[in-house]
Amino acid sequence: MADTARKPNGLTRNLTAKIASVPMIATALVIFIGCTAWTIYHSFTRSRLLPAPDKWVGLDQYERLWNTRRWLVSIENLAIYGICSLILSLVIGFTLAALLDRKIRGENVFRTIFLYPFALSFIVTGLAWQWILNPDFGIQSVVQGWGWESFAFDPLNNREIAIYGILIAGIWQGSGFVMVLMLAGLRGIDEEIWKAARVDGIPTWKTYIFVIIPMMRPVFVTALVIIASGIIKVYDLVVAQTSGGPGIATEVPAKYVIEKMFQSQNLGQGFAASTMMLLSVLVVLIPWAYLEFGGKRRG
Amino acid sequence: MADLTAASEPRGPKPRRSLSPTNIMLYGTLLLVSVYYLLPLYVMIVTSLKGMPEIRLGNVFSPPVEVTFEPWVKAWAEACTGINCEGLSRGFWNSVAILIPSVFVSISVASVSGYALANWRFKGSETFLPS
Repeated sequence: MADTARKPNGLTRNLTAKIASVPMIATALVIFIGCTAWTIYHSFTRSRLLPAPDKWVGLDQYERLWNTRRWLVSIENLAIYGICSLILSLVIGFTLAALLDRKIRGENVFRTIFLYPFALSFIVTGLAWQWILNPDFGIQSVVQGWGWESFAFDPLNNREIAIYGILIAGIWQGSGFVMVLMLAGLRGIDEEIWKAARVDGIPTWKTYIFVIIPMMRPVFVTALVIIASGIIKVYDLVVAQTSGGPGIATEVPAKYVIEKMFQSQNLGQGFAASTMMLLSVLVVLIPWAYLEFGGKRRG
Repeated sequence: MADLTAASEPRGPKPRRSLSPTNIMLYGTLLLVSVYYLLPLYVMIVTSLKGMPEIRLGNVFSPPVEVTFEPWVKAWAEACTGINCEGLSRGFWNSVAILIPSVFVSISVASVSGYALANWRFKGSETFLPS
């Protein structure tokens, strides 16, 4: 890194810190950058199995990728799931945190209830959700048993809405964590702000929207990044609930990558797909990082 | 502390109201949301306590008629995955075996890196510590 050139005292300044940062820099260079480069390189070949260098085929893999209907469906699903999940997680997470921050009794109990899904494996809870959403022995059959015969709630078997069935479980899992982040943010708000708002006679909900939320911008940014990375990675949820079905209605990109790599043994194609995922993340991330960190200097 | 909820109420030495409309709304919402969050856990626990014939009856929400802990024992010690018939216990100890070195290694590497980043702000250090 451009360390020595900038410092007037040269190499020996902060020597211990420099030595201490060697493992971190080495990890970043070798594992993050190195492996990414390796992956991108192989996405331009027609490698099929692991010890991999094979014929360079240029952009062929990408062309094939974007002509595969399954990939297009995956992208569309990711977009639907991502946008809904992002908005709902933030809204639900913030609302729950605001409710819990109203000095209620039993806050710890509620907090535990909202957060515990985050600690459970999706493979297990996805199965439980699959049962609950199953028309034969889940919510639909129970409500019909109560006498509402025409009640229909069968999200996982309907191609059109299957992804929303997955969304229900996704929100269930992710919103608790957002709630905890938001709660920490709310606790960081100075009590004086609330007093000032009350003195000025501003209604509580207005205080939240116009004062508290703008003050919590860093928390929102953190939550956004965490949710977004979770969305891009979503895989186990889909596998546990629908395995991509009915048909290919709930495929997601991560599943496409895994299947191409380990089942179809088509390494190049899988890497092309994962490079596209990386690219889409970067397209979102770089302008954001530029806006967020580009302007200011830290001491 | 409790006066925050009373923002729009008249002031005075009135004791804590526990059944105001606001509070009913508040706790009602929280309880309702809790049902959504607890449902899968309830289904898992209830199903785990049922015997196989009862599960086949097909209502996942009904409480077990005949509580049996036998599935728990079986899952922990006897269930077969592949050729191993040791149940979950094997997987659990595998998790422990992964947990200890991974916690140890990541904490030691991260604490050293943290020390470096705290003491040495070099150009691009924000790439490694983006916030």
